[in-house]
Amino acid sequence: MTRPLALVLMLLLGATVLSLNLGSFRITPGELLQTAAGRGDANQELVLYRIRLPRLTMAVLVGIGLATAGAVLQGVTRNSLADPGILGLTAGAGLAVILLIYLQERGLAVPPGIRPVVAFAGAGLAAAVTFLAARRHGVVLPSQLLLAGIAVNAGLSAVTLVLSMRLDRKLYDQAVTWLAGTLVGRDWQQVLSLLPWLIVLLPILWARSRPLDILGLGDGAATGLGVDVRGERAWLLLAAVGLAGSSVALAGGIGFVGLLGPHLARRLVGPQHGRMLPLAACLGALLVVSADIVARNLLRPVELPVGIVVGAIGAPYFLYLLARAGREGEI
Amino acid sequence: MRSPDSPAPDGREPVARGLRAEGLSFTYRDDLVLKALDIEIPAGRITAIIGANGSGKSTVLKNMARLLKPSAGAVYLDGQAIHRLPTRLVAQQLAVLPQAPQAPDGLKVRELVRYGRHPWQGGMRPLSKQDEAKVDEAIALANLEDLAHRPVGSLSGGQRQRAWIGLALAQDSPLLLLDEPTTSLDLAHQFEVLTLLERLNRERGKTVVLVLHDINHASRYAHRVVALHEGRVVASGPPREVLTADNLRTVYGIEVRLIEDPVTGGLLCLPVG
Repeated sequence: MTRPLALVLMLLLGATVLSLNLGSFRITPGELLQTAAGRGDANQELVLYRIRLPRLTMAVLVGIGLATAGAVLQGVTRNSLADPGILGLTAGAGLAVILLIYLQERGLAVPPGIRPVVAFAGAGLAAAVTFLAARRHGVVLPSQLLLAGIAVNAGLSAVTLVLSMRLDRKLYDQAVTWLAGTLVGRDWQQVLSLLPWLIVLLPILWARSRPLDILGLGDGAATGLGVDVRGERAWLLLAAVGLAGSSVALAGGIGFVGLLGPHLARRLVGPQHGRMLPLAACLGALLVVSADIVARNLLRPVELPVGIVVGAIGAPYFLYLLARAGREGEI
Repeated sequence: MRSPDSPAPDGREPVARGLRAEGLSFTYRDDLVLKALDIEIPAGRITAIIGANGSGKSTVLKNMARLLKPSAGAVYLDGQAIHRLPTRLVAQQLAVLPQAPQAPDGLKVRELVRYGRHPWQGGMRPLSKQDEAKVDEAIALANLEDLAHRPVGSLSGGQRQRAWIGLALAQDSPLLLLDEPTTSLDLAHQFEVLTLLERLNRERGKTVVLVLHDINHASRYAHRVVALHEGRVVASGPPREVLTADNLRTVYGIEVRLIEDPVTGGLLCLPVG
């Protein structure tokens, strides 16, 4: 294990404890241990097991999913500013989920666990549109991806807004909060509907870390080294879309995690995905867990959507990256 | 069809393998860039492809390295159509260095060179001891020992080109294709890179194909020269046969005078108008 990874895991552990402690109902570390040992009172058990722990788990999983998806998207597109939000994946998943809520309101019966699947389809469609729009003469231009993503984002968000305004008042409020990214009221059932996506997709992506490295050398060099560039890129993209879509389905439009996690990871351990992906995943988890602590406690008892807190950290970093990339002529 | 490198008379398998284009045409946005080319790359030799800007010389190289797919005709590697072979098997036989390649920020020289083992070990397994030995060998051959732990981005142009050649060497393929390996290098670094390629050919028997801008480089380092003009082969053969005033007038549209090089005994080309 690299030293940065060990450090980030320790920070994550600290954030975990803090996240379980803090809130409108405080549980001290001592009480935490007592409750964990089965000697807590009913309130403590309720808050810990039914509210905070599933929410914390969800924060960790969503952070891992979004950061890994971002790292893979950046690798595949060779564009360091690519992430699920910027390429339109989040907006696609968002529209699909709002559409599902809308149809449910009109009496459509759907099986449980369908939401991540629908979000995956939405994210996939949005990704397909983005990539098709960035194609020139059969080649996807990394330089065009950001522009295409911004256009797809704007279009999809507009449709989503119109659609959500047709929901009734209560559902509309829910939808708006969810679109901004929220972890309020996440329960174990929702955790369980996200978990399989990560269990299947993360090992696949980690196993493909070397082809992902080699794609970073450019299409010509990668083909020369025996990587099936089109096939490899298609599978990696599909897996990234799956991670992003399922994460968005459960936690809404939390942006910037896919940008921040991988970037910090690259700075700490370099660009090779074998080391970078696990670190990016843990940084993503740390980011979402920390942002959730702030979101729950900053204006207590009012809760901020966690996506807004992440955005408040992420937006300045993104601007910094843009400025730096602009100087180096990367865009 | 006879393979250009069918077994030598004594019946042993040849060490190096040949590469051949037959009726190779390539279309880009409705433009016929390559027009039914026949090119034979002799095994164990250095072949230079020359031509004016836009003559299609890089396109030929990319087609022969299966980076581009011909619109008609085919490229044969050891007698088999290269575009139908699994790309990883081709990579074991043929390494290609694209023009002005870019390494990701922060990637170190040794990490780059290690990617050269990818065709031999697939996607998942870590590098074996044997792979690491090949990496060490490639680093030594490309004279990269002192740079191995430096980021590729921090190197000078010549050093960077050596790092990429190190990657191609770690691939351990009998064929090495390079697209303008000396472009944007200063005189000393051009010399360094070409001398390295010459040494690899002489000592390791590598078949080298390179796209060159400088006719004098082609004259000095290549055993064979293929001269292209507007997507067709104007002439191919030993430098003395190809580098004539007539051919160069066709290829570059200028008058040249060719004189004996007092140092190498080859030809020197002087434009006169």
